[in-house]
Amino acid sequence: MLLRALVLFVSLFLSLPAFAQNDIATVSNERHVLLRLHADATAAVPGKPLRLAFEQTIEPGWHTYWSNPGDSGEPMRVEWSLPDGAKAGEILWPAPDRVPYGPLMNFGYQDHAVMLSVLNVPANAVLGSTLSIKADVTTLVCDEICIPESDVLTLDIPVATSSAPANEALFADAASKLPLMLDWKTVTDYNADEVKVRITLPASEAGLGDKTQDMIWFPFEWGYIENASDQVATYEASTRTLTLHQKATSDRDISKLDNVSYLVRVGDQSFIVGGAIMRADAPVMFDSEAMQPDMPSSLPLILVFALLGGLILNIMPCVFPILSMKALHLVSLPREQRTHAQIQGILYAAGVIVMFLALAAILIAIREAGAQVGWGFQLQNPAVVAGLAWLMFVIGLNLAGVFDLHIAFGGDLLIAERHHPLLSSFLTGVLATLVATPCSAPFMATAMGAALVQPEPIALLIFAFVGLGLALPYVLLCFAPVLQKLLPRPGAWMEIFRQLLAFPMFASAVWLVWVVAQQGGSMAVGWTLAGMVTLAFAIWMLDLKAAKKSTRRVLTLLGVILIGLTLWNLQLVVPVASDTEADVETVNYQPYDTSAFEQTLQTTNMPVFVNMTAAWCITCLVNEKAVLSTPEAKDLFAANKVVYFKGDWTNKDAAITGFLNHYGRSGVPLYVYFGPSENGDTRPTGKILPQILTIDELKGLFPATPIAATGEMDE
Amino acid sequence: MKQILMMAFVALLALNSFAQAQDSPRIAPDFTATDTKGAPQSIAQYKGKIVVLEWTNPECPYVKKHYGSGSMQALQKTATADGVVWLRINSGAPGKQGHQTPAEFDATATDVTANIIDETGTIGKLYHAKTTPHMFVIDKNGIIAYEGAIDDKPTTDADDLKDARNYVKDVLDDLKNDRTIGLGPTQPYGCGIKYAD
Repeated sequence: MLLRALVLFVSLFLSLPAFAQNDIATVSNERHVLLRLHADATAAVPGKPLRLAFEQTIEPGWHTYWSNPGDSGEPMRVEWSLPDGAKAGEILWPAPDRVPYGPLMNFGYQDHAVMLSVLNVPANAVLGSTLSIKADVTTLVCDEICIPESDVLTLDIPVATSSAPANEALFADAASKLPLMLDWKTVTDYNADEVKVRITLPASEAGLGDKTQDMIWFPFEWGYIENASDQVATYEASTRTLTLHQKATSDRDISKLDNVSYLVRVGDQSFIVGGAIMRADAPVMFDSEAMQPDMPSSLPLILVFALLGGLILNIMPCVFPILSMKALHLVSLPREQRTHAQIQGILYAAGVIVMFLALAAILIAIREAGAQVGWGFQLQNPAVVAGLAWLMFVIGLNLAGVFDLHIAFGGDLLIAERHHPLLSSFLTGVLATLVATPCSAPFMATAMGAALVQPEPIALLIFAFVGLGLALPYVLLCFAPVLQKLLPRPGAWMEIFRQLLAFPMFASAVWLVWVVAQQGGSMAVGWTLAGMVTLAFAIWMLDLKAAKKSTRRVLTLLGVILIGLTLWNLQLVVPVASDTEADVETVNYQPYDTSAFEQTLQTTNMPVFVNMTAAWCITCLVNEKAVLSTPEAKDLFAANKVVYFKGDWTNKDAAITGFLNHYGRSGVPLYVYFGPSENGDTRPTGKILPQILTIDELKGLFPATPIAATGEMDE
Repeated sequence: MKQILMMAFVALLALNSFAQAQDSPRIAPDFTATDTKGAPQSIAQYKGKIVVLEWTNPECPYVKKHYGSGSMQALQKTATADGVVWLRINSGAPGKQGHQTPAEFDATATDVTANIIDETGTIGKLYHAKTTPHMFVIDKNGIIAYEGAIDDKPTTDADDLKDARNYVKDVLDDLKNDRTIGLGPTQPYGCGIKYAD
């Protein structure tokens, strides 16, 4: 027995040098950390991902660092030198240990750790050639003292049509130590002294709450938590609420904590919870070719589409009534005044375009400041939505004839027109753009997406063309008397038509209140509706024809104060965390989470469907009602074991904005399907589905019978 | 009416973009210490002057990056020439890496106001200093204007200095020119301070 062990040991020892030349790059042993680079297959297959592993063997007593190193230290850094077209994904870190050091706390690894990265083998790699992978790696290794060690790791892999698995045990072990995806509901709560993360565990995981003693948690970002302070985890069985507490620090603006996620570790298991983190670089699972959005790529064509988009905005319920009123006014002008009409038309167009450019500039500025926002971002704040609902409501009341034209909104513009016709035209243009945003955000997402991924001058040009499209019909009316003759003659029908136009306004208001309900819950809806009543009351007071001048003054003052108070109360319309617990258990999707999504792609072979949506996106809601939420679609997903991620962009979410940008979009809806691998170790790139979904489209994604994970498929 | 609504909407758009909480200013905690020359040192005595606190450990590879290249000494020289008080603090405990005698410590930098050996770690813990280097800039009113890393390249590679943005230099420039500090606290990087066990 002893002899056999000895022989085995010796033969292992002898085989080491040969092994080193093959797929392991070793470094000298005068080091505190020994680094090796491994691949999970014997060959690189063109167009398919290859998993790579950095294996750290760390001298006892020394440690290396996690992606957030804690109070000091530095994570391993990799600089790749890869053949053209090959791209390596971000480093996937296993769950770390807490490594105390005096009063400081570091997060890192002792003895042994394996980090993974996924390499995209270029589709045009030549069969029979060798794929040379080179990684310049810097690793900081510390005990009492810190030593930066650098290594040049190389790996030469033959390019072939098929490959066999390699280093299976190592990769299986490394994958098992990566944090798991999960769909648990998490709320981060904080004050000056304490950060609290409350997690509602699903029934199946309730047992986890009993392990609070062994629970360690780590923030993915520095500066919110006093790293070295004691951690406390408590569990309330009746509500299945797991609460993690730790002392807070004031190093960073605590209001940004909502976007921080945490890693929770119980023994060898770990989970990612909390808000989404934007990853520095995108996962390589996305092929750059698949990323191209389905839109024209040449600039003139984009501009034509932008112009068309702007034209379409004219008939949107948010915009049409105001424009119609302007057009009607044009008809009512005496013939001699129509000479001014051309100037007014130009000024109106200028107002629209200036406002579009201003919105685009704000958007570009905020994007460049690093904030992850998209077109329609104003609508992600329920107070803005409530304000827009009020505007629609008030305009509707005016159009319906409830108020005297002298007071109400649109009429006021007409009055102003007599005194300052030119200014009024410009302001109408500005206003038309503002009220167009609820319509443009959902309908124009694709064009806006194209605009915002372009360099700034081109992005501004595209926005300007959308504005031009919006302004064009009115400008044409002003310039072509022929077209003006086509307009119907003024008469009593105008009043009826105006009253008719009130209903699209009310419909818009109702829709906006519904959006507020999604964002802010019943309290926000209550405040929004109450605001409508007080606004209507105030305007009614302003409109009263009191006989005495002093009474009129008091009424006016009261009305203005009431309007002021109402607008002030907009701050009460605040977002609430959406989703009830019951939802999580009955639906067939999980909320989109970057880490969970990437890991599902990389560590499982299940088909993945991603749906990016928002409550204010009509197209999204129609698709969900008509297709995605139907029993047919649910059965289809269940039968094919689809992992369904749904990202709700109703409120700001950096991870979802990042995903949309990845696909060249700046808005929702976006549907992407990632099929399972066809030969056991690779996975095709994501397929973007049309913005208008059909059930047949979904069925087309799957073969007639469900695929087994290892089943053979035709290309 | 129109104006009110317009203003409300412009304000709302603006609020939405700029509603960012600001941290309240932190007053630099005072300490009293004796420097390597035997002179007393405190924050209070420098009221009206800009003070830089630099935590250091001459043997830490991150510190070596900044001293080996001469970049830290150059910054110390221009800062002190501008009237900035620069205090270097070594909070390493005796017997640990980087612990030095006063003469050894003095020899590692010539253009600083004072060198303080903080063997007990009292000052370091008062400031929650974590790494070497870990930098603090205190304005003329005794408010911490900046704390964190020396620059934006958390590495030990001296080649990275070329493209690095030196935060301390930028903050000192802002303070000198009465500009708003265009920078919040940053994550300090480097070796952990070798505090006494």
